[in-house]
Amino acid sequence: MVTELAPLSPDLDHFALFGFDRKLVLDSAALDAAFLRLSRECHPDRYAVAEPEIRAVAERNSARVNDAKRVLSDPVRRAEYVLELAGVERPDGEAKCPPDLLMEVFELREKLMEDPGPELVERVLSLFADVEEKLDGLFSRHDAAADDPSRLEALRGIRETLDRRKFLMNLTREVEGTLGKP
Amino acid sequence: MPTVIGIDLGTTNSLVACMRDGVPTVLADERGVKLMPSVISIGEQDVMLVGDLARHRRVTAHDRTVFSVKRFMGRSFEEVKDELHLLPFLVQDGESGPVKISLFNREYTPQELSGFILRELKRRAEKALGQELKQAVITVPAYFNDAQRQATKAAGFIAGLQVLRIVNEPTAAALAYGMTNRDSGTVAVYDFGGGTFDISILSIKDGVFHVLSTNGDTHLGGDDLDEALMEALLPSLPEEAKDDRQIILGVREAAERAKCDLSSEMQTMLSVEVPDKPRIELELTRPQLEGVMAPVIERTRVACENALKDAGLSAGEIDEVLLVGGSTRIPMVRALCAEIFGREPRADLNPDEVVAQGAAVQADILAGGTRDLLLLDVTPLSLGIEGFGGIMSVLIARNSTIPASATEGFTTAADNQTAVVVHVLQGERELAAENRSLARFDLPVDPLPAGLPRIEVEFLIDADGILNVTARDLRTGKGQTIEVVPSHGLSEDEILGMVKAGIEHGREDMDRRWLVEARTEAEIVLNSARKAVAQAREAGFDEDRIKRFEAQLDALDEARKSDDHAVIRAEQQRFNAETQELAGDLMDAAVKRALAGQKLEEA
Repeated sequence: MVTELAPLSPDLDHFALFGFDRKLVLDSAALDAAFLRLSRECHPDRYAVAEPEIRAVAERNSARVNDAKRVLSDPVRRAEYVLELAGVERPDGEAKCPPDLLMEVFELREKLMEDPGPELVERVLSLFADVEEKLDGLFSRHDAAADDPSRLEALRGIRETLDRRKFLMNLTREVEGTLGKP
Repeated sequence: MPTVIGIDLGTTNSLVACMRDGVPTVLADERGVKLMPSVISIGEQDVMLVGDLARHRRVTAHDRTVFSVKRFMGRSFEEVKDELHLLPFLVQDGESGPVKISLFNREYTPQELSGFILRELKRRAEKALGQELKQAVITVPAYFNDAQRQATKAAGFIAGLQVLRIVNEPTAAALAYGMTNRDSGTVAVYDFGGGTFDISILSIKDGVFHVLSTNGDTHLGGDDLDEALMEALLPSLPEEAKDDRQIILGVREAAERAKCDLSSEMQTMLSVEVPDKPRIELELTRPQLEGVMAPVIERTRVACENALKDAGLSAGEIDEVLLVGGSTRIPMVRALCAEIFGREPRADLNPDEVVAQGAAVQADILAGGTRDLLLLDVTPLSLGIEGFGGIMSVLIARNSTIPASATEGFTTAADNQTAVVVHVLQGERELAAENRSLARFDLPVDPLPAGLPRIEVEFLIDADGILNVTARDLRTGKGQTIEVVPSHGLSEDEILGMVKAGIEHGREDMDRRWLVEARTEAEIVLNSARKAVAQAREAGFDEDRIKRFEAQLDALDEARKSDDHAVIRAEQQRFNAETQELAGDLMDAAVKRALAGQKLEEA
């Protein structure tokens, strides 16, 4: 029976927990493998007949591994997490719709009222694809950055693009809501 | 290494299993029967009868017998009140506590009643294994919420068991399946039982059972099919029978039987038999039954579609569909399942036993026996707190792998406020009021100017799917665990009180229990023997022979009054041997009659 179990160090960030560098492009197979290895070690099933204190540590350690995996598995959450770690904040504190997108959204909404048709969905989807592509580029740029200033620049771009993505996401939902899910 | 047992605590039937020589084995009672009806009945001298004996008393001792208790676990009166008119026992509002179920001369919580079932299973396992048992794994529907899980755990404690883990039924089934089929792949488990429906989608690879998503309905099962059929049959009953609780119960039994018969037959005679009342017979065909069942069965479809969506998979990506639960014997259910997933489900698992087997595997993993398997399950419902404007703010999304945690900061809105109310919710709706209120608790704060206190609260869903809350004052660094008593649940003190009562109950006089059990069994045998006598007379059997049989019957009736259970058992065994012959002849006569009838029809 296990008589001792140390809590996972609170100093480790999600990446370090799995032994990864802080990169935005992540090999999902490698993440899965690292996650399973840690899970086998941490999962409360291994400590089910141990003392209550040890069981409690196992629950917390395992929750930590699962929480980290959840964040790292999703590219957007992963990026948000890196922004948080790097302390990159929005220039004026709040997420605002970029002006050019605002115009676009305004027009789209008007069209949606007048003549909702499948081409609208196409339009929104293509806007969405553009943002995703841009994000991918910025992710790679971040990962390849040679120094802190260029990394920070990439992160600022990511901050803005993620907000843009969020506004588009809401618009997509609106369009779907009006037209019914495709 | 002490043995840990695995228990499938079902709505209709329960089972207990354990690992024997590396094989998950369901433990049978003395007569070799594995399924134990989840029925409880108060017998003579207030002895609690559980299982088969209680099941037989459902109609004859209807005011002393309860069943389907699982449907009330962790539920509020509000949630169950609509179905009570079809049940012969009284269920009352327990206000903030659990509902109360009246049984003869006392009220019980569902936790206590489930505790009786668990204690009986424990006893059965101890007898089969010849050792005292203290630890168990108990299965629950995957879609059970926090309150229902806590109620199940409490029932285990009340029965004198340390519950090492609450395991989800479909996950357990997948575990039992994966033990013998070591291929990797994506599996859907369609679990349609007596009271609940679950669908879980898992990926199995290298001994890791990873649940991707789960969905379901904790109030959708064979009971609902029986009740739909009952509702459909009630109009055709004679007027005076409609308000007779005993006849309604007879209709339930007959409906259940007819439903089972029609899984293999195309038509059946539904016969309602209640002692001292005229027999009611109705003819029922499979298409008629299917017409009644279709809307109920159809409700499983949307859960399956949602589970697939949450797993990010299409039906075509499922490699194998496993059927679990007695209701999957119904051809219409199988057909719907095949339609949803576009493939024939596997038919080689025993839908009644596979969950208990899986529970035994998990029990062995926890005990430290099986080491190469790992189970990663999810929480079925999103967990959140009530935020501004009555909106639910999600902290842990549904289908997150458990254990899972989230932290949230709290502060005060008024000066010198000494507590902050935290309202924890479970569900998928946007408005707090439309979700299940899991608990409401006060977070103690030092009196300070508004906004100054900083309390960090950690919400942790443990491997049982149960919420644990700890709070930390960021200013002082002081931490504390908060006991979360779910709405309509039991507090730790209440559970301890019931555990104590249970220990006293466990010390009851075994001679007295055996006596009451023997008497009850004799009574059940006598009842069916009396029926056989009436049938024999109808079939024109030799009157002398019937008279001789009746004398035997009287002898058993006399022995039943003895205070020695051994005397009753011996007499009953003798009687059984005698009756077998008559029963055989009766059966032959019935078959002959049926054949003769068929010939007449053909002619």
